[in-house]
Amino acid sequence: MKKIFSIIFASSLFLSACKEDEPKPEVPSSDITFTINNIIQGESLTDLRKIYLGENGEKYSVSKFQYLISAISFKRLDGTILETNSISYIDAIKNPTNNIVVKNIPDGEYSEITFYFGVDLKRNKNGGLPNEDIYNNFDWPVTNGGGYHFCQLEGNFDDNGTSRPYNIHLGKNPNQAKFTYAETFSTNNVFNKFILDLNIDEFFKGPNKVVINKNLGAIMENDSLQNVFAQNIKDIFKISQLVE
Amino acid sequence: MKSFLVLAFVIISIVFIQSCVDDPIDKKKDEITNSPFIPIIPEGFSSSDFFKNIPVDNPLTVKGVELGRMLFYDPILSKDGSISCNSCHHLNNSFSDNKKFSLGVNNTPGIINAMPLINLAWSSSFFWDGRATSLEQQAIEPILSVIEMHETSANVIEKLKNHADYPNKFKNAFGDGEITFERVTKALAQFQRTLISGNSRWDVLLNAIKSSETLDSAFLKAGLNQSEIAGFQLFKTEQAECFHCHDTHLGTSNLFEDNGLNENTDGTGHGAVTGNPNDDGKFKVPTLRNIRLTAPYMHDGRFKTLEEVVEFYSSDMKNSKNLNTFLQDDAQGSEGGLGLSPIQQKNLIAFLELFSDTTFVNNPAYKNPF
Repeated sequence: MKKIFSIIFASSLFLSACKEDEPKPEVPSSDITFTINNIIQGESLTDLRKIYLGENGEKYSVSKFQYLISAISFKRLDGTILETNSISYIDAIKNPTNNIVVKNIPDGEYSEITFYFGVDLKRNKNGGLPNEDIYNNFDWPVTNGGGYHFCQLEGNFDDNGTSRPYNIHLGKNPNQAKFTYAETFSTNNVFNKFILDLNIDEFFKGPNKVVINKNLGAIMENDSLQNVFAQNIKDIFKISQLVE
Repeated sequence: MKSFLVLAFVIISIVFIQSCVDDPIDKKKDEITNSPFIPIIPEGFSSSDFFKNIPVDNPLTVKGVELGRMLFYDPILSKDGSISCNSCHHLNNSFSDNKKFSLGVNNTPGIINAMPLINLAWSSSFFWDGRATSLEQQAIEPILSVIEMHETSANVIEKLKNHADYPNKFKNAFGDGEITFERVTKALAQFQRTLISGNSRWDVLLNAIKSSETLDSAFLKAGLNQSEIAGFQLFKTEQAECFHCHDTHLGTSNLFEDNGLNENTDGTGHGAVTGNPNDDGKFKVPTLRNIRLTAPYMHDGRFKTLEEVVEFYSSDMKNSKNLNTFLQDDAQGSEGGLGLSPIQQKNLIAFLELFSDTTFVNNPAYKNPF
C-alpha cells in the first residue's frame, strides 16, 4: 500500500511540474543585462573596409573579432560571492552591440561584479564548456595546452605595399583577463543594465606597444607574444552602470 | 507485484511528462501520427546542436525516415526515371560521387562536385556555396534542376499519386495520403538527418583525449601508430593549420572559407549567394569524415587523390583576396604553401585515415531499400 501512495505522490510531482505558471522564487530576483560595445579608435567596429592606423602608423583592417566572456559573478555586501557558470560567445563583426543577460539574480545590494575575457581558469580545459559547435570550434589545440580560444582578432595590414594577415588568437591559462566592477549597486529595481565598452586599441597600445607586422601571422604557439597580449587585454573593458 | 508498481509509476510519469511539454509534434497531430524516430547521437557529439536544426514542422518519425529513404533511392523523382539521389550520392563513397561532376538525366554533366551526405543534421547551410539553409530547402533543387533530375514538382506529385505504394507510405508518414512536393522534401530531409557517422578512430581518439590524463595514453587507447601521431600533431600546429577548419568530431567547422584554389574569385562561392564581396571564393568546409572515400576533392573535383590535396596545400595555394588569413603568409611565401616535407605529407595522410568510418558505409539502414 505504501508503494501505491509513493507512486501517486511521485506522479503528482510530475503533475505539479507541468503548471505553466512556474512557482515564483522565494527571493525576488532580477535579470542583469550587460551591453557590450566593441570600439576601435573611438568608433564602433562595423566597417570591414575601414583602414586604421596602428601604433607605428601602420595601416590595418579588422576582418574578424570573436571572443568569449565567462563566469560573471556578483559579490554581496557581506562578502559572499554569487558565482554563475555563464559563458557567452560574441561575434563583434556580426553584432557590433551585444547583450549578455544573466537571469534570476536575487535582488539586493552588491559591491562588485567580476567576469573573464576568455574562459575562466576552472573550465578552460578540453571539454570544459558545453558540448556545442560554437564552443567546440573555439577549441585550443590539446597539443598546445588545450582549453579554448579566448579571442580571435584577425585582419590585414599594409606591409610596404603588400597586404599581409595578422591573427591574434589568444588562449591558455593564465592568459585570460579578469575584470572587476567595484561599485556598490542594487538590483531591486527593474533597471539593471551595465555597459561594457571594449576598446580594441588596447590590444596594441598598452602596457606593451605592439606594432602590427608579419610576426603576428600566427602566434598561438608563441608563448611570449601570448604573454604580451595577456598583459595588454587587462584594460580592454571600461565598465559602467547605465543610469535611468 | 513489484514490477507492476514500477511499470505503473513509469507509465503515469510518462503520461504527465508528455502532457506538459509544448510539443511541436502534438500541434501537428493531424499530420504526424507515427512514432518518433530516435537518433543515436554518438559519444562526444552535440545532442543540442543535432536537434536545434530540425524544423518544428518536420520532426523525425520512423515512417517519415522510411519514406525519405525510399524516395532517395527511387528514380521516380527524375524526369525519365533514369536517376535517383543515390545516382550521385553513393553510400560506398560516403554518399558522394567518385566522378568530378555527376551526370544528370540524358547524361548531362553537372557543374560542381557532389558533396558527401554525412552528419548533415549538425549543419544549417547546404551546397558548396551555402545557398540552402535547411535540408528541406536543399532537397528541392536537384529534382527541379535541368542538369540533374530535370523534373517538375507537378510531375513528381502525379507519379507518386499513381504509384501502388507511395500514397500509403505518405499516409503512414504524414497522417493522410496527400502527396505534396513539400512532403517529398520533408521526407528526404528526414532520411538525410539520420545519416550519422560517429564510429571512426578519430572519434575514439577525441573521446580518449577527454578521458585520459595524458595525450600519450589517449594515443595508446586509440591505437595510433607513430606516423598517425606525427600527423595528428602536425594537424594541430599552425604550420599545417588544419585544425581551425577541420577539428571536432564533425571534421568541419561548417563555415565558409577560401582555401586558395583560385587567384580570381570575384562573384564565386558564398559571395554569389550573399552578394558580399568578402564572401567571394569561400566554399563550405567539407568534412574530413571518410575523406578516403570521397574523392575527387574540392568543389570542382580538381584533385583525384588525397596526396594531390596535401601537395596543393603544401606548394600551390593561390593568394586570393579572401584567402583564409592563416594561409595567406604561406601562399605568399617562396614555397607557395605550407611547405610540408614529404614525410610530413605522408604522416598527415596517415592521420587522415583516422576519419574512416566503415560502419557508416555498411549501415543497413542507409542501404537501398528496393
